[in-house]
Amino acid sequence: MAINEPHTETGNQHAHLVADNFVPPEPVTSGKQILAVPALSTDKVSKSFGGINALMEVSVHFRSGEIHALIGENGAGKSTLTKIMTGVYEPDGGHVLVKGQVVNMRSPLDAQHLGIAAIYQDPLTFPDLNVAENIFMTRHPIHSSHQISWQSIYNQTDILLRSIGAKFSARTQVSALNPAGRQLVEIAKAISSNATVLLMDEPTSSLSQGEVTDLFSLMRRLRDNGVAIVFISHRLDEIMEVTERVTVLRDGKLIEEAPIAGMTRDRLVQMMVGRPLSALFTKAAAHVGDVVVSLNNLSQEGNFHNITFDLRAGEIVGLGGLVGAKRTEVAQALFGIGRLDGGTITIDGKRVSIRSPGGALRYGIAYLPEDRLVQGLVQPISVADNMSLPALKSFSSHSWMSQRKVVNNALTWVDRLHIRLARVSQAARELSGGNQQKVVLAKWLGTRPRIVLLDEPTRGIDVGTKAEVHGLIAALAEEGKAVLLISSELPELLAMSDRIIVMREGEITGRFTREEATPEIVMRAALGLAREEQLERAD
Amino acid sequence: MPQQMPEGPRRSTLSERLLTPTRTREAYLAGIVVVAALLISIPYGTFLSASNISEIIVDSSIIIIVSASQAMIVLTKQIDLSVGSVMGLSCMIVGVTAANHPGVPAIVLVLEGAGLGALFGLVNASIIAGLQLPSMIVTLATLEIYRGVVPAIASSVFTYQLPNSVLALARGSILGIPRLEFYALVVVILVGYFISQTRTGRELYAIGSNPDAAALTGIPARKRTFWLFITSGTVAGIAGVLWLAFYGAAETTSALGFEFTTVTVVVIGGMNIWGGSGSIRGVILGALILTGVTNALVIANVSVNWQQAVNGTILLVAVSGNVMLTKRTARRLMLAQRAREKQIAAVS
Repeated sequence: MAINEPHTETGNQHAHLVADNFVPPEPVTSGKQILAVPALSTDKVSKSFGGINALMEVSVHFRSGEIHALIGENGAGKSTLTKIMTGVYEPDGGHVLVKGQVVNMRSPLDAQHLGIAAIYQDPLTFPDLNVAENIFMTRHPIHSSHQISWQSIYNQTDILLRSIGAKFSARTQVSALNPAGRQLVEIAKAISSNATVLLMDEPTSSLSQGEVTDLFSLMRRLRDNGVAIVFISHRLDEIMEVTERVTVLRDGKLIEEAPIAGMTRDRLVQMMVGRPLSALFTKAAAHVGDVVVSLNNLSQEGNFHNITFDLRAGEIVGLGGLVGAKRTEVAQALFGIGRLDGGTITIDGKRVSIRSPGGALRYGIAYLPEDRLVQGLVQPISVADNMSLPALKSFSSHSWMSQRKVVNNALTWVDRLHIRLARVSQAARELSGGNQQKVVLAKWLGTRPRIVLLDEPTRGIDVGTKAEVHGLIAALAEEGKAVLLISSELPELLAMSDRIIVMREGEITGRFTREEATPEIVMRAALGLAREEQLERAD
Repeated sequence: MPQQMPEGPRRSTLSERLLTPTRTREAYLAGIVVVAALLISIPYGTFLSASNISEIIVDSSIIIIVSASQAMIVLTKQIDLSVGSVMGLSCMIVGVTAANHPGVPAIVLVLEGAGLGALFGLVNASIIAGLQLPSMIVTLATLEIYRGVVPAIASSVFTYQLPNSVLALARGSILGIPRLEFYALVVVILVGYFISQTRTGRELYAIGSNPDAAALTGIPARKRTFWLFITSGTVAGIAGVLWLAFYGAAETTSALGFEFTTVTVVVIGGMNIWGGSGSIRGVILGALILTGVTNALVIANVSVNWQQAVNGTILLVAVSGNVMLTKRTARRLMLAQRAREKQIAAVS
């Protein structure tokens, strides 16, 4: 083996993971100095799900001794890229390279063997076992007799914990730890398995300020020891503080890889959102009527607080924000899912208490859930039956369902929403994503709602159907319904909404009229950069 | 030894070493055993006599053997409801062999029982691990099937006159310990060592504690499940032969409802029915409690009809008591950890 190959050990140990069609990487040169081969990189990886391109020829490079930010809007492709680099998904095209060698990872275990460790927002631990066993599971130090050496496991763990400044011991049961503690356990596990790349997905989202500071100093120490750290976060302040380079993704494409020095928040925001606003549905001006529903200082412990806004008849209110903004939780609270800890809801000026989806339906509220596969449709039963579910009573006489009414109702909606299917008796799961979404719409519109809450109504559906759904949403508003549109796609939000409310980590951080809203302004609010300006304007 | 050393990462405290949730549960159980035994002995003095205690231990031997393998299965969030039927069927087939061929050595009969059990276990294992079906339903079905075959075999031969070689399997003693108790001791040591001192054994806890994390850690859960059900079948097959030797006969009702007994023992013993925690010591205590109660009811002249109702009540009390104790312990550990964090923060 050549002397200048720092990766011989990994290469030998897991030679089977290295692809047969190995192509030596081109040396990266910069000026006089030859830069180190990246610890982890991708070469034009692509991935699509059901015709939707999640990643298109993305090449990224994460180097040893560097903390590297990976940023982008929701749906920009960060999590798909992460899953490819940790062996959860296999790319459709392109390669993943570890220390310059093409690798074929078929499972997260392969990634671990190659020294790639991932730490998720909600760490995957064994709550019933103690810290030491969580760290050394399947790798317990053993005597020659195969008996576990508890002495050794506890000593090694104590040394590890001391080195990362943990405030618990090797024997502490993991169920007694808070999220920060569980994260430390995962980091200790990564260190003990000699991980050379650490992917951290929103690691600070459930930590307190002090815990974040501790985590950052630990990250810096790991970096100084030669670990490549990939830091995925929506918190630009933290990115400016702790990272050295940044890679920006947008719509599944690589936008830029640049050093953080000299970068501004505004520039980052611009890279995250800067896309042309063409080819989108543009709705007509709204005929805004009276206030239908008002939320006054709604709060839900651990999710959101002091949420106040009105929905008016004939108006589409867009609710923007990034992952963790808790927009879905607000919509669900209005739909009677999840208990409220404070605040009031008034409908037509009267204070109401909505305790269940059934109660919400009686007030004329319909909710189209984010995950239609799980929450929106009963997959195995027919399209017609799905459409009749929320309003079974109107299809029955004396407790007996009238199949004729069910089928006629379905045919009406199929016609109105242009749902493409063979027969209304077809099982819902046989339809394409876009058509399933239309069935969910029909299901709720059949309840004749006055207030329609739409949670990511066009996620994962093709462009053509998307335009149709946009047309439908506009038509709902024109009929005089009050519409709340949750969307993570900025262009959609900007094109469809008469007013835009932006949330960040459970708080409203911006309110904009259709005229005021630009991609940059909305993204700044979603990132929490515009709060001060907004507060001033509100006064 | 300095108790307060709130400097950087701390050492394990004494309470952490001794009062793990499992040990706490065992301490409670042991307390219950002692208090209950004393209370029973007030009106029924014979309960705590040496001969009665040794009878309780002998009676609990077969229960401990089968419960030990059941415990390993429950540890991984699974359940084997077919053990009673496997025992009954093994007992009957081996009984017929012994009655028809009195000259066959006892060890061959034990191997026959083990082989039959392994085969029945293989059927469970293949369906559960192969088709990824819930073990509760699969073994409920094989419980019916295996038990249903017993009468067909029984009708052909008279199985009450067994050769002495068979009966000797459950009589006499080894190293001064009654044979059945000796077998139970061997099983307890083997299973206890396996689940507490080997990597593979610890993996069972991991699978039960968080299957997703176990998969990400690279633990082959399906393979483990497969072998656990084969083991469970084998143990039940051998236990069927011991049953034959102990009761001196094979009947269609032999070991009927034994799956209930083992699950009850495992749950009384503090094993989390959702997997991930429990110990072999708990299993022993659970078996002693269940056998002790049965024994006490006999001494107190309570009608046998009440036995089932009492057992069911014990199971309910054990399950709910366990849940409450688990929650309390979890809370206690959490508060203790918070307090220590504060202490460390205050010093540094």
